[in-house]
Amino acid sequence: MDIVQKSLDSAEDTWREIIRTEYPLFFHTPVVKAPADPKNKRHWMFYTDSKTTHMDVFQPELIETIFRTCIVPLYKNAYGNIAAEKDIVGRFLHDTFTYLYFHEQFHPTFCPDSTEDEKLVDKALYEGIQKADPNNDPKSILSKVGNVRNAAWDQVIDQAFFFLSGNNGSLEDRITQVFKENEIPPVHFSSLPDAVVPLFDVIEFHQYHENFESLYYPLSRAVYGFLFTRKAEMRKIIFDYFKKRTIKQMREQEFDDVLKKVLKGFVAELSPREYAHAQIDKNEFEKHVEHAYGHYGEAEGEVSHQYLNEHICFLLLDKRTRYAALKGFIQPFAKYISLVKEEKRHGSHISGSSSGDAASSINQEGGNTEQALQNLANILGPAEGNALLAAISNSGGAAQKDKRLSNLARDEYYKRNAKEIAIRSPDYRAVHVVLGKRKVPYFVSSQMIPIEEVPNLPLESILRFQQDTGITQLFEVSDFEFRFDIYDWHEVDDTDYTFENMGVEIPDNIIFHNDSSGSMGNPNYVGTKSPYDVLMHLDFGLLKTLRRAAVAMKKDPLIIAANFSNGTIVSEATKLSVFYDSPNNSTKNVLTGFQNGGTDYTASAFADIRKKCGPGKTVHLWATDGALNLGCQEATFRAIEETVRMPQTSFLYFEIGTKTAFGERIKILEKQYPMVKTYLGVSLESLQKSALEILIQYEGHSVRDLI
Amino acid sequence: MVHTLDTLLQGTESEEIVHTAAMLAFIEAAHEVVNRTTMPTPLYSLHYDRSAHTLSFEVLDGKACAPKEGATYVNMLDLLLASLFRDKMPLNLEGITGIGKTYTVEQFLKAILPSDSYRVLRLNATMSNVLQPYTEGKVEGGLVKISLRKEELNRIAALFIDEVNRGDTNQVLMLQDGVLRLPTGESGYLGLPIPRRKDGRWEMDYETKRPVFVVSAQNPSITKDAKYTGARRTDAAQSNRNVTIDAPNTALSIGASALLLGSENGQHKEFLQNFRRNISRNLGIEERVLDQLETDWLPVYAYTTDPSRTQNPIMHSAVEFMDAMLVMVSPELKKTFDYEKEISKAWQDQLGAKYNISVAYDGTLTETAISLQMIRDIVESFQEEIIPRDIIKVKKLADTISLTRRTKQALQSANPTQAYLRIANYITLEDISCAFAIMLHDKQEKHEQDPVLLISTMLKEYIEVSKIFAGKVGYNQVFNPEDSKYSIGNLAFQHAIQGMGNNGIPAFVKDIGTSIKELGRLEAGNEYRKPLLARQIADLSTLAGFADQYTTALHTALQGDISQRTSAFKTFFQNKRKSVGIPDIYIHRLTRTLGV
Repeated sequence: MDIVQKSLDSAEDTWREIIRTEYPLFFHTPVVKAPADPKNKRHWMFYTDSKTTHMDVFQPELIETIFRTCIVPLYKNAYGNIAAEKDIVGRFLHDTFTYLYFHEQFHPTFCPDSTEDEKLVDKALYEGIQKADPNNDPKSILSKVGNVRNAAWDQVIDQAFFFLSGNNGSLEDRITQVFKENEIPPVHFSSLPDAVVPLFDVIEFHQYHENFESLYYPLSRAVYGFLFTRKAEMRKIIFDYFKKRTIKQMREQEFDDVLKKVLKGFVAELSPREYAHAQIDKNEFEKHVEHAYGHYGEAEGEVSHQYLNEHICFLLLDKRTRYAALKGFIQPFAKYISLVKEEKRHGSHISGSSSGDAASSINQEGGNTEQALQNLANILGPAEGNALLAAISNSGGAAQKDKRLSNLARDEYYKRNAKEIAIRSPDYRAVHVVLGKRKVPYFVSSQMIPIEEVPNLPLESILRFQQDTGITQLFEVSDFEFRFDIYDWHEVDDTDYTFENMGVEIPDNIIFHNDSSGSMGNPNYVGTKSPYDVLMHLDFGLLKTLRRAAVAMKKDPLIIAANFSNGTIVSEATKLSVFYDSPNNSTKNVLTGFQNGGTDYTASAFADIRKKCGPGKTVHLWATDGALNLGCQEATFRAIEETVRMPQTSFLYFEIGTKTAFGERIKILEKQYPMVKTYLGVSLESLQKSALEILIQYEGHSVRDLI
Repeated sequence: MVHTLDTLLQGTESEEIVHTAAMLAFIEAAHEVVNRTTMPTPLYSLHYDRSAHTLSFEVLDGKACAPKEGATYVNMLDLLLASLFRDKMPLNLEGITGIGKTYTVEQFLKAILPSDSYRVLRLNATMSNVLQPYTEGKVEGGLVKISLRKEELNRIAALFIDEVNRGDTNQVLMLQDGVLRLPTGESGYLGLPIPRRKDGRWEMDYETKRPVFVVSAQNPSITKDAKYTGARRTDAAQSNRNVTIDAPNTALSIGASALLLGSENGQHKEFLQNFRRNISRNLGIEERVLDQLETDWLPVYAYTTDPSRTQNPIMHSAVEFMDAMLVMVSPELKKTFDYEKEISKAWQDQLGAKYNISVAYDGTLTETAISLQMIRDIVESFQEEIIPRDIIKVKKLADTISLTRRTKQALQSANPTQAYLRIANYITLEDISCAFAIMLHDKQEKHEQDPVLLISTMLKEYIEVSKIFAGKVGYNQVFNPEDSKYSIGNLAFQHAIQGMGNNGIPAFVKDIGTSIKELGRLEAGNEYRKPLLARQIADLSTLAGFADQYTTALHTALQGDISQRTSAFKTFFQNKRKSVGIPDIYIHRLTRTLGV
């Protein structure tokens, strides 16, 4: 086995042995290691989904070479010839991997340790980035949050690891103890090497020779180099390494200013209560920043360096101060964060984090930006959340990831804001009701008992049983014998019947016909109160009710969308559960799309729709703000009339904010066919006041049929 | 007159030495005889690492393993002996047919007692009356008449109930409680009278008896294994009292060694011989002077196995750790956490402005935290929630483990009696954590979740918090489970007492406030540390509230020398505890905070 693979395996043993006492709950975390893959564009990758840790080394030979040619000289530079090279390479590999195991485990342990923590971090980053440039549009801020959140989590957990693995804490003691017991060579190295945290980034930088597309990553590595080194000698080497690469793309003065502001930023947003809780004086903290930074490569700076690490660790670990600290920390970085690419530490991230990958399936997890959007929508106040969702929905963008984001925002907006619309299907039926369970005795066997053994029977329970059930268990058969009947108990359902008006009869097919002509609004309709916005409230209000009822009744009808304006676009049929729950699917894209043209309906679409429907009951929901163009009115009316004549079919017609002649024709149809219902003059107010109640009826004779 | 006990006491005049010697002789003799006719059934391996303060608990499942240094190995015989020496810890052995549950218990009883002093009951669907040994009945004119056999109440020392889950729960509970009540109104206390020394003479105490030793065994219920029809699941009332041990199948480990066991005759005689030899050696007397041992055996047995003689005090840190565990295993952790916060907030409302302190805990528990979900998964694997009886059970198990550990350690030395008396006899955090491992394992039907992870987590958190807090109040930061002063509550209390100076109770309360503030800063990002902190803070704020409420009386009580203030404060509380009208919260919380 090669040295890299061996080190990866022994590092896992080391890590587990340490966390057996330090973080026992995580002791059984499964670890998956991908096999070597020379064709992989990454040389290694490490990530977690909070349940399983993935430690993938794709190009072990390359890793070994990097350690030999880059890392070992770095340490020799700092500390001289401390051990034989072969021992050092193996040891550095082992220790780096040990740190990486901890890094991945520290995500579920410390940050983000819950969905709540994730939301609050997103909020802190959003507010920080927004404060840094108030003129930034919400989409840009959101994109930056999505791209930097992973790095923010890393800042928390790497700070925790650096501090807890030194500073005479129990983690440091345990690391030393395990290293000693396991005799990892060279054995005189009793703990992890200095700078083991930024070492990972040195390796990444070593492999990356181009200019950085955004400066957040190299700047933040410089912060790592500054903070996460124990000795001044090593700090000088590592920090200078990152600085040298970064100032190729920015002025040195700017570099120094940003870094100091970032460090001071940890305390910039604390409230007086938070300062008191953290026992920090802002001025003192800032003085330590200046002093430590000014003497970063000298022993003189050590006391301030220690002060900063201790207090920053407290701020980031304690949740009372974590979010304010992150809000302040991110502000100086804000303008350097990429709008298009994740600022992830290459190779170390939480799975599902690629923001903007093409959706390869309906159920594909969203990227970081999408997750950040959902979190922010949940945690910002209702007004702010809605404003954000509307802004993102209406922001457009041609790139696939922009479309996904926009779809998600729109979906979230209407799911949150559309009020459920009451739907009834008048249907009075007998319903079987289970009242509960009851215990009944059942006969097991009989035994003949001699009279002298009768006192040894469980007489109390026999008496109790006889009293409770009226069944005699013990019979005197003769002067010499008793018969004992043995019973046991089992549970049965206690049932009854009742008659109920079954409130909603869920159809098997639901077809939405949406008018997306120019008079309905414009493509950026979300939250604008335009007719199309109202239409979406209507559609989603109905969908919410139907989704809830479908779950209760364990039914999953098909949804088809027909979007008409210049032409009629008919979607595929999708199950309601998938349609509703996923923000990105083709049917939903048709439902929510906006053509912005005339008002034409292609009558043959009805035939197309019929082919896509499944068997059973069907309801059509037609929403418009005006009459169809004259050219298609008659054909469309005929198609509608033909449709409503079909068995088990209901047709609901909604006119938004208006009443038209076409609508009046449909109203006449309503008089002939009970399964047709018209709702004219629908408004946003009526929807939000839940004043609209929809009646869906599938059966009934038309007047024409009766004549 | 118990001649044997008189003889034993003559040499030393110390009952403690005599009792210790007798107990060790008993245990040793039991091992010698039972191991001759029975193969040991390995149950648990327990290892508490004193440097890392972690627990390793392994269910051995009947497979003997190579011994590890420092580990305590518990087998079925150890548990039977410990259950015998500890009161109200009835053992229930559950396992498939034919693995030796009944045989092992029978061999044990045959060794330690004469045949007319114990009873073996095998229950079935018809014969499920466990009170048979104590009752007699006849049928007269079609009516069944039952009466109590009073002479048996004082004669039967042990009962083994086989197939207990086919029997009547109420009757079994009566036996375990040691009180028999018949529907006829007759009643009696079960067990052997214990000889007590009074005015230079031995008198039989019929008031406080050596409880009857009840052991039961059963096949798995039909819900666990469908083969066992008629075997019901033991109901909660009974299972909560028992310590149920999954009796493992040792066939694989024992192999053909089972063919070479000794003959099953004369075990009790052999036991008495070995006991005589062992106790003579332990006390340095001649065997021949114990010629009346066989006649005196029941009183000697009652004296030797009297549970009140083997009770041990519990360390303050062990109490606090146990408390922390109990909070974490509560089925509604968030509610428990919020309740603790409400307590400290209520005290803040009363004391905050008056003393210019902050005693409220303002941490929040994030229920969606992954670590808390892991803890919830473990807690939800328990069949029933933790109840006060479980707390007592943990203490008894801890006592058992402590006793097993100490007796095994002592019996390996040249002078077991002296060695045993030299070993500290406290129940420590180590014993409590081992006891929790067994108790929580017992509470699970399936063992898919590992409760030891939870115990180890809380050990780490409790010790870490204690160490940091000790540093804050100027105490030694090296955690010592055998240091009676080392607990968060006690350190805070002592610091406040020292800090009083001449400024009296207000200074005491303020100092408690400072301690609370320090504790509130120790979350360190660990969600599972917060309930522990909330509990400690609630307890300390209650201490502050108590001091505030009784300021004037305390001021008088604490007038004396500063070195006496600690005991004066505790005495004040103990007296207040007995009074009418003292709020329950003080009794609940200060009992453990002050360790009284």
